[in-house]
Amino acid sequence: MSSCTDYYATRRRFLTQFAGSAALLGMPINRLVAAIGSAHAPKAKSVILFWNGGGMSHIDTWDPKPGREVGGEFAAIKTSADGIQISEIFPQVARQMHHCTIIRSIAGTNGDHGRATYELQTSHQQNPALVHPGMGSFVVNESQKNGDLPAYISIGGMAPRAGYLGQRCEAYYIGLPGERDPYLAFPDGIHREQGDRRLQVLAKMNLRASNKIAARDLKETDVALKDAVALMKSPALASFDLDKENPKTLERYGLTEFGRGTLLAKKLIETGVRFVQVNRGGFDNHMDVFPAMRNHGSVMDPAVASLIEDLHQSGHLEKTLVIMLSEFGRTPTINKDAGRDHHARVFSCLLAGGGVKGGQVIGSSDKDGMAPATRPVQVADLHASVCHALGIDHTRELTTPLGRPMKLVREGAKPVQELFA
Amino acid sequence: MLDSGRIACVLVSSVCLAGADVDFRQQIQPIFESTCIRCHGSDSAKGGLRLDTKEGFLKGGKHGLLINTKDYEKSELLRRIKLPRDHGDIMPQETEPLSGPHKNWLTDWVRTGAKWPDGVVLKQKRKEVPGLAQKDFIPTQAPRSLAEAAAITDQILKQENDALKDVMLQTVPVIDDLAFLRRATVDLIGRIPTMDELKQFEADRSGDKRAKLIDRLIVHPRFSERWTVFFADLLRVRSGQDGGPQLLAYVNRSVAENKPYDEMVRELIATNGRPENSPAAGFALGDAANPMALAGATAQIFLGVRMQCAECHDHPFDDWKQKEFYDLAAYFGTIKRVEAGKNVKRIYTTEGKETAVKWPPEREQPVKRDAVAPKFPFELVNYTTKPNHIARLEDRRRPNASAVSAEAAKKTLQDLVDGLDVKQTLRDSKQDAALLSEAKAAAHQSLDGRSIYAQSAERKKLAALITDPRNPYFARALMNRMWAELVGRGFIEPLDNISAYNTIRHPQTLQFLAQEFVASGYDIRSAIKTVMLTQAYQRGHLSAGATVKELAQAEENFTATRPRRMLGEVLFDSVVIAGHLLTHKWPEGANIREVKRQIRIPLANAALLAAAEDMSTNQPNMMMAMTKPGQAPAPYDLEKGASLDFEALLKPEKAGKDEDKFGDVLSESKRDLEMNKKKEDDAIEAARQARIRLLRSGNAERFRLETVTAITDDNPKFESTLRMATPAPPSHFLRVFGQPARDNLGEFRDEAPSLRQELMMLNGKATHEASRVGPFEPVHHLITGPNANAARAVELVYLEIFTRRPTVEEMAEARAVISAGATPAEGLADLRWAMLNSHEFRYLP
Repeated sequence: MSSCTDYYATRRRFLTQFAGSAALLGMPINRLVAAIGSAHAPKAKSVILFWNGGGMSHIDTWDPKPGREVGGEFAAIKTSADGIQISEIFPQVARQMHHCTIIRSIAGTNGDHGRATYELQTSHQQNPALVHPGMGSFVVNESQKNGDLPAYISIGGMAPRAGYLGQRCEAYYIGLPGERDPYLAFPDGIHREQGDRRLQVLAKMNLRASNKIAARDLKETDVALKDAVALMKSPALASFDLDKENPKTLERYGLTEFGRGTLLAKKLIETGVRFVQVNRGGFDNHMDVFPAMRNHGSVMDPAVASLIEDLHQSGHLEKTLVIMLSEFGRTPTINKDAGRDHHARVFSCLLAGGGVKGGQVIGSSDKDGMAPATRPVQVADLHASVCHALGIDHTRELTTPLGRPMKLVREGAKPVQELFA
Repeated sequence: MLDSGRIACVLVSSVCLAGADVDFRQQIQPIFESTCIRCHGSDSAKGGLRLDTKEGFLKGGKHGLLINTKDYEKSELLRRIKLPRDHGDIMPQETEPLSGPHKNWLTDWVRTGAKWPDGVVLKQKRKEVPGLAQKDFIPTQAPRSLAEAAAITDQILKQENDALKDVMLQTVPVIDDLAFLRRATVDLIGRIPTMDELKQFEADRSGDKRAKLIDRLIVHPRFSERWTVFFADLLRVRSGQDGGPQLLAYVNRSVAENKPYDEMVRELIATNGRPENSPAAGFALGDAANPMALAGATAQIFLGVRMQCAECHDHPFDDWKQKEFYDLAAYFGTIKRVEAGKNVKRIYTTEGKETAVKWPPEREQPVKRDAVAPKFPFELVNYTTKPNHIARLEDRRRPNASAVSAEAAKKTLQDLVDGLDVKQTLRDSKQDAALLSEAKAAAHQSLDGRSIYAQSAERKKLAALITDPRNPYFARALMNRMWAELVGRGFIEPLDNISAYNTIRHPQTLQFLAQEFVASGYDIRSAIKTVMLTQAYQRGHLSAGATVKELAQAEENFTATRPRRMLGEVLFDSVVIAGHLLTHKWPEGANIREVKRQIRIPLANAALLAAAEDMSTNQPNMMMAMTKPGQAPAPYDLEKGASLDFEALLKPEKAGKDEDKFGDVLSESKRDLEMNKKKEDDAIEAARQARIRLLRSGNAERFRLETVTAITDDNPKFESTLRMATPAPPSHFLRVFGQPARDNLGEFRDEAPSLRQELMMLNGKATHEASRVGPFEPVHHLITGPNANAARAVELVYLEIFTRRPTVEEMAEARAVISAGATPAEGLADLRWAMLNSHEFRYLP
């Protein structure tokens, strides 16, 4: 069974479940064969998504334009990957570039925050009648649960909705990383022994009810209760805790919410969580974009670089796809307020791990970062690529509660094959 | 590389897929029956072709065979259906081209050999309103009371059940009085009964005490709050949307005032304006005043008909054509959402001049698209003799003469009102004085007292058609939902899917309830009371040991009820009422304790932080929010209820009538211009510079953690969650317990149990505080002090939490739990905690 709901399982899926593989279900034969004939086996087991809300400038980060008027105030620096340059605000990430791939030719279609965010997070265009699940939701819908912790955790902000996949594919939120979640332990004043006694009384009462009336929901409630108690007592809970971290480690990731969130993401992934989204805002820099990006760099650079390095050290990078997305880029033209405005025609993203080949750039923008120059990548291709990395069939058809067939990833999307080693 | 497991999977899958791909009966037959048989059937075999029999299909027509068995892809059938719209050979010819899914299905079917099962003969399909064919169980005499209506409902239900074949139904008797008290109180006022209510009910010895209880509760102030939830779910009210808070308050007031349901719906469909003054306009704003979205929503919400699929292509599982969807959408064709003002945004709906609904659909090739005229795609039921329920409705509503003329006068006034595209004018005039004065002059020309909020005559017509008593969907759609809300299952499921392709399990019972609803003047309280007086509502659950099939059959046929879980709002409020948490239950200072918390101390220069914060609000500035230290959400925020002031939301704004005028919006825009100038102020520039320095310092977001100890008097009280902004934030208790996000049509409350629900109940603040025994609650003196009496304490707690007395076995167990506690009060807290977390508390008896 998948880690979230099988509620809306399609008939096809139901039929083929006997075959024992969730990943290849519902595929027409030709595509099924194509998937198997594909050059690389899926390596990723989990995903860390950095979501940069507001529209991050591509020129000031992954696609610098040194020597051009649009280049802005940041220099381009060399990286550990031959011939690849990135903005000077990411000096530590530059030293990890041999693990990373940059896509510089994402061809967006929406210049409006809401619609663009929706498309980047779900691969679909916004539609007033239906909410499509975000990346984390559809990933956990398609994969097995692993361990006691929730399969999908969002740190420091809102993750997209699970839409038609329902409550069980929604993210588990952590507002402030390291802050104690009061719901994971008995309330203050109730010690373990008293709590266990209470649970015994409860079990007796519930058994009595279950012996009296027939109801499917009671059994499911019993299961949820059992899982909850297991989580409360699980050693895996320690991964939520940052207090016991080496102060040097905390310092390395940065004494910021983002640094702590990134460190937490690493710990959660290593404990078996399937999908962690780390949220950050403040990229809508219509004004004073350079100081803003300087600050973003100083906060994000140590965290992201430490994450990649540590995952590599612990052997988890191969199994963990790290991807950094924003809803669009920003205009090459610098406006009168020293800011940059929305720019969807071309922008960039950073990926690492999970079978992604390191040290390469895919696609390019033109000389001023205005439009894709080579190898345009459609937004939904990113989602297809995430699926591909995880061994999920991105062409799979689900059924919404309305009975409407709906592709997991938008029709026509293709994984970016060059990403994978 | 391939592993053997995968190969095995491919083989197995291929077997499954080959058989599962296209189902003739489910997918192909409906296409032929709805599209082809009219011309190629027994009545007229055009082109010598008959498609109603296998023989005719295989024989083909005068143009030859339909299927090319040598190369299926080249079959004539596929060629014809895939031709462009205006090609002379396209099929079908006398109706719209086939939709995408239908073309795909036919293609797949032909490719896999075009297998027509032997002996299947097709008939031309005529669209019909489902569930009206039989009416012999429905009495022609009007019931004299709601109690009689309830009895008739049970009687029709029984007759319909008796007619079922191959079904063995187990019938469960009605529940006892106290269980009824609990069930009815929860359903009517959204929380479990208090001891006072329990005593009052037990003291009543009369035969109709259940009806009297309903009468008491139906006028309780919490009734409107509880049923606002029902309508807010139905209408997808979202406080975060433009006009959402006002719409919520409007629904609440409508329920409180007992506004007839049809009147409410007419207002929702037809109102334009600014939600602050015309709250019903929030309905159209909820779908961003998009004609397509509004058509889908109107059909599904008010008529229980899922037409949405037909927005993009003919409905693949129903008879609705894409053109019919456009006909419906055309009623909303000229609606406009206008956003005016820059610093203070004003959002409203009005009507424009040109319709946005044009045919053929945009994605098709022809360049010329014509405006679609509104046309109601639903059939009204015609009659020769006026049905009794419609006659009763008309009697009830026969207005006196003066009211008629007042209404007519109002109507003329509304018809006068005209549309203006204010947004465009404003956009043109923004920050440009010359254009502004021009726009102002233009405004003067059309000012003459007219409102900028044009109303739509077409939408009024639509509202009248939707709520017409002859409309066979409207009353049934609501009664089906209301029945399901109260009894646990609907006659039609999913609840908003009235369709010829979906079973209506007890069509006559539903039709009778719908007729009574119409006759009552669409009175919500009467409808609820009727349902609650039925045996079907009052039955108990099947006993453990019943098989899944027995359970399904009994619940679907209403011979037993489904154990329903309380709504999230109701569960929370019930914990609060059971635990006496609406008021403080401890004296001040009784719970002083030290609380350790981590706070964040910014590393940036404090003066710089302060200087940078004083910024113009014009720039979205998420970073500043992030740099605010110590703004950690308090623990247990997710269990807070917060009361909205519905009355204040419905108070029209002070400015009065003038502000509805066009000129006023312009003056606001002028104020914007002045504000823009102010942006150049030195103070703002200084803040900007401080912000730049802060951002460049590298310290803008850095902090160190410090543990502080606070002294707190832990003696909380809680508010009801029924008046909260809705939906609650994600992860809030209500959302975790199934409150829908309400942005999806066809989204219902998720009753599935989850791990998070358990965590929030087991470890939540409300459960914990409700369990603790405070001195200001009645049970206190029964568990401590000289008059302590454990048996009476247990009995009281059982009545307060479970609305019943304990059994002998339970009493013994409870007393053992009390003795096992460090003190009897702590033992009692353990008992209450277990009770509040139990199945019995959460699921209705």
